[in-house]
Amino acid sequence: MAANIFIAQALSEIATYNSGSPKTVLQVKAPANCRVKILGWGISFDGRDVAAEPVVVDLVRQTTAGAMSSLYVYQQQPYTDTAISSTAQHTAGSEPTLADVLDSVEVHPQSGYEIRYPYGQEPVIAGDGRVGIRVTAPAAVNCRVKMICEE
Amino acid sequence: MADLRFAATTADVALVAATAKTVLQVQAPTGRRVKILGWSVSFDGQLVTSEPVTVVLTRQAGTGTMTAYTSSDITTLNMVAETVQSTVRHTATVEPTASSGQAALDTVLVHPQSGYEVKFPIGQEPIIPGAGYVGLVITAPQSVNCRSKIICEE
Repeated sequence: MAANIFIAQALSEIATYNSGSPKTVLQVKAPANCRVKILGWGISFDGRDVAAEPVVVDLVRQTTAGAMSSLYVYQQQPYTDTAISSTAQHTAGSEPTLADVLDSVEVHPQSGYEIRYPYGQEPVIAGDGRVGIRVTAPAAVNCRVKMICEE
Repeated sequence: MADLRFAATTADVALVAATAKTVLQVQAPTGRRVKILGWSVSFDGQLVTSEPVTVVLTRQAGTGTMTAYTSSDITTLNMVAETVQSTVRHTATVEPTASSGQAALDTVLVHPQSGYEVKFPIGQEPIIPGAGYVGLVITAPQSVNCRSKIICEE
């Protein structure tokens, strides 16, 4: 872990509704033999119904890729001589295998949720491991999602 | 970077429905990197059923057509004697060109009756390279006014 910070984020909106079942909207995979710190993550929705039921959002460890689309990762402090080795993907058509739930929150679909972990308290993705953000939406709504990490 | 901290802010900027607008942009001085310590946006919407607004903090490749602040318009936060060397512009009438590659620094959907603010933890601040540009680009599904700010350190 050497201060190479990046953000994996969806720059277009992701449809989250999966008939009431969980849907992974973002997953980060650490490089082999290299642990990755999760510095923070966030999700926001474009809902318009004030009476809508909140969405369940989980930060989860996963053991497989499922079927997802690749996602570009952006260096937060570029112009270093080291490229990002982690990879990211978004919008699962087939869900990855769940291992553990790291965090879980209910979020109203007219709003969002974001956390930056205090120094020393960041969750870690093991080398070659995967962490995803998984959404269970009671009704159709789109999201933007991001995970800020450090290699 | 020597603890010259400043806030680039806007008064209300009118957003036209479904039209991306750069409401605020900071250009680092030539040969000097600038840290982004934080940024924020807030809206004056009054309708509870409005669709949330897309906000993107992004690197840009030029100025487009914007209004430039003078140094007296830029507030230094820690009362130092030196003058801010960065250039701050607001309210694009012609959008700046987006930077290619490594462009987007942050993105969020924000309800127009509310706002969003982030202060980056120490050591995690995005950097504007010397002579580089970072702007706040907002796309509102319906017309609404916004106020925004980017807090930086030279």
